[in-house]
Amino acid sequence: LDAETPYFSGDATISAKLRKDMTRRTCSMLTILLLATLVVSGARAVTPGEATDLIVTDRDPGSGEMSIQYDRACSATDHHIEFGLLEDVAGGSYSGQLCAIGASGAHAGFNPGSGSYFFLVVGNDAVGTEGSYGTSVIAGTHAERPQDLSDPACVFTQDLSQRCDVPSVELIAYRPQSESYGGPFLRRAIPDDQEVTPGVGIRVNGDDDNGNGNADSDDTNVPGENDLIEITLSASMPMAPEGLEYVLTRIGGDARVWNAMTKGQQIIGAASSAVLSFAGGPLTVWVEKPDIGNSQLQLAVQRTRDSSILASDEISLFAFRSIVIALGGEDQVAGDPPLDPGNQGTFEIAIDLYELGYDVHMYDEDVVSSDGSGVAYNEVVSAVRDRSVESIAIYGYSHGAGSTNDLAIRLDNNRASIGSFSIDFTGYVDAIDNSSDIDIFTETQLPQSTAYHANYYENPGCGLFSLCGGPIAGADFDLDVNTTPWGAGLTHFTVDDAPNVTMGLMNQLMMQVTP
Amino acid sequence: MMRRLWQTVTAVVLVWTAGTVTQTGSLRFPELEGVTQSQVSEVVDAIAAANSGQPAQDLEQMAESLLDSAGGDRTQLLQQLLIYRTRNPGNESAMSNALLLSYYKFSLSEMREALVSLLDTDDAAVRSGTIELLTSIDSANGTQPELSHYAEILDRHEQPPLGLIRYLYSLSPIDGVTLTARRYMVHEEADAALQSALALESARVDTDSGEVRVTPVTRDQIRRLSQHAAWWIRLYAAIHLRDQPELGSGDSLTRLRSDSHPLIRETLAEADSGKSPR
Repeated sequence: LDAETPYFSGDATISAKLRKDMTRRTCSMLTILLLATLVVSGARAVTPGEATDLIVTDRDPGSGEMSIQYDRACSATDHHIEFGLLEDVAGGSYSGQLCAIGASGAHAGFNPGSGSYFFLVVGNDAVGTEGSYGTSVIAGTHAERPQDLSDPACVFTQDLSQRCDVPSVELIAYRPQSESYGGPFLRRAIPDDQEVTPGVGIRVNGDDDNGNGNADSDDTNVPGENDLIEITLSASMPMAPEGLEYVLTRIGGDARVWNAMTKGQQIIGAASSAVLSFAGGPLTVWVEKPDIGNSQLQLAVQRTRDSSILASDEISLFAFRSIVIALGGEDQVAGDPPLDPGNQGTFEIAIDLYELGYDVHMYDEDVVSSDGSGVAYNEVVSAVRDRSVESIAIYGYSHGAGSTNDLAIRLDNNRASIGSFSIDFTGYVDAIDNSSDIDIFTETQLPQSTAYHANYYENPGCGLFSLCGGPIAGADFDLDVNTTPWGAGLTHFTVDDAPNVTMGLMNQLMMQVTP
Repeated sequence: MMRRLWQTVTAVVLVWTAGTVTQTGSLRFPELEGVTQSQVSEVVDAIAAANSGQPAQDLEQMAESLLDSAGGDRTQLLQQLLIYRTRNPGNESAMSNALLLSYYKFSLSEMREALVSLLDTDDAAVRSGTIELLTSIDSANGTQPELSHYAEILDRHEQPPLGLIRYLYSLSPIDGVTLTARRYMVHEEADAALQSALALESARVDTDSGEVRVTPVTRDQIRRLSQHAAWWIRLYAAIHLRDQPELGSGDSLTRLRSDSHPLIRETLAEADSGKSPR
């Protein structure tokens, strides 16, 4: 065997049965020395690592039986031998197993049979989980050797997710600040299973939060910046074991990584990767998207020698192309969680959408003046002009629905000066015109230029002291909830909280608008 | 229905007597006649309940009884309804209150009159709620607030009422100062002051770019205005300095910070504390 061939240039626990004419000394010399065993404490739930430094210490020329030594895999209570024909070594297929060789670090009497074989020692937990088979160059890159899926003699399932000899790393991304953490949306981590698909939404940072006349993406220090996404990075071992390092890498796209919410020191930008240290504990970084498109960030445990990745965590980033404006009823102050739980359906929907990855901005309807101007309008204009947003959704309840109409009118009227966008969704829940805070008249207008309008209303017959919504001519969905079995008893103050209404509105919005 | 009440009031309250609002501190007063906040609450709550699916009471009769409690004094009733509105935020309360206001068919003029009388209260909740309502009414249907509605009200005051002046200037400093100067200064004096104000207005903004310009003219006008004998003129200068301190000189700012008029000091203190102009 040639220890310099690519297959063996790795560091796996691999050896070969020697031809009968080879001497014991030669055997030892041919042994491939492997990466130093990495041992970690057993404090966390770990799975076996990699057995290393396998050597053949003796061979009986008569029987062909070998004695071997190896450094035990950490967290392994038992080991087994995987072997295969030498000609199959590159393909990584195995022909047999020798089970339960113990955990002493030595075994005598191993004989795979006549011919030339490769073999390696794999640690296991004696229950059903096995560790690493080591790495090798496979298809040109360093990667874990394939596991033995045939398991002819002893059945194991490989689990490297918590392997004890390689630190685990984690990226936790958070939803965007809207408009700041707690104001109103709380700081929320994005679940692991959503970090790559659908990924993490982030605003294109073309606005001017520090009011210095430059796009924030062109500045390096932006007081008041609120468009960067927070990401925390951590490793199970603060110091990377010898021979390993923690590397943050941008894979594609234009994402930049900064050390502060207000930008500050650039970690990823001109350079697409950076070596990190967790000696001071987990790190918090802030990610910026200067333009539309996708990007990916990967935190990896890399071998310094060959940059092979032993463990990693990834997030995908996408630029928001839409914005959702949610407007509560009169005097309903936006809060997360809602300040009046069970009685502010508008904000319940907004929080759900936010958690589903939409760029949501929720307000008391008073932020929309009766001419449509105000904070919500400014937010949408900035999103279109500066953040490459092209799709807009607006919905509201009671006076908030009236303000939905006011906002849509102003946006449509000022379209030429704002830029290219479409109002892809509008929604009313029991809409009341909002000409002033004391307006009680039913809103009857379809929001100007809306591509899709959903209208839920109750109208059991409006009297002197009743607030009622009403049908909207031209609405794509127009429902008097009082005509339904589930909504027969709903009134103005309860219709916005009915699950059929909140779910129905949200589902229709999601059908029309993607994040 | 008239009520006679003995009440001990420990908070600052607004007592309605013969159409005039009197602010009082902790006091005991023997005979307060008129509608009370709890009576208003009873009716508003009943309307809210009806709109929440609960069995409706005879709301019309309740509303009429409330008017009776005010001795048929619509102004008094309106003021109590507005106080209730400002003190009881929340969708149900606000919208039910709006239904009640609608029932009595109060005109916008009546509403303004009643709200203006609440602008000078020390009760912060009532004051901010009043400003919110007034702003909402003044810009109903998307129109720009029309300050001329307030000329008549100013005419009835010997001295400029602070709350109303604060409100008018918050809507439009130049319209506010114009209205006030015309009412409270002799013609020539008002002309001279307003000429300075208009010069400042036209000099401070670049008409092409819309950006604020600092020029010798702006500094000079700010200096003139900030030294004027009439506090409502100095207030106009203070508002500009609050919003754009670079418009004037440090001297003007220093002088106004220690002005004898509380509204001017308050205006510049807002800038120092970063609070909103209101």
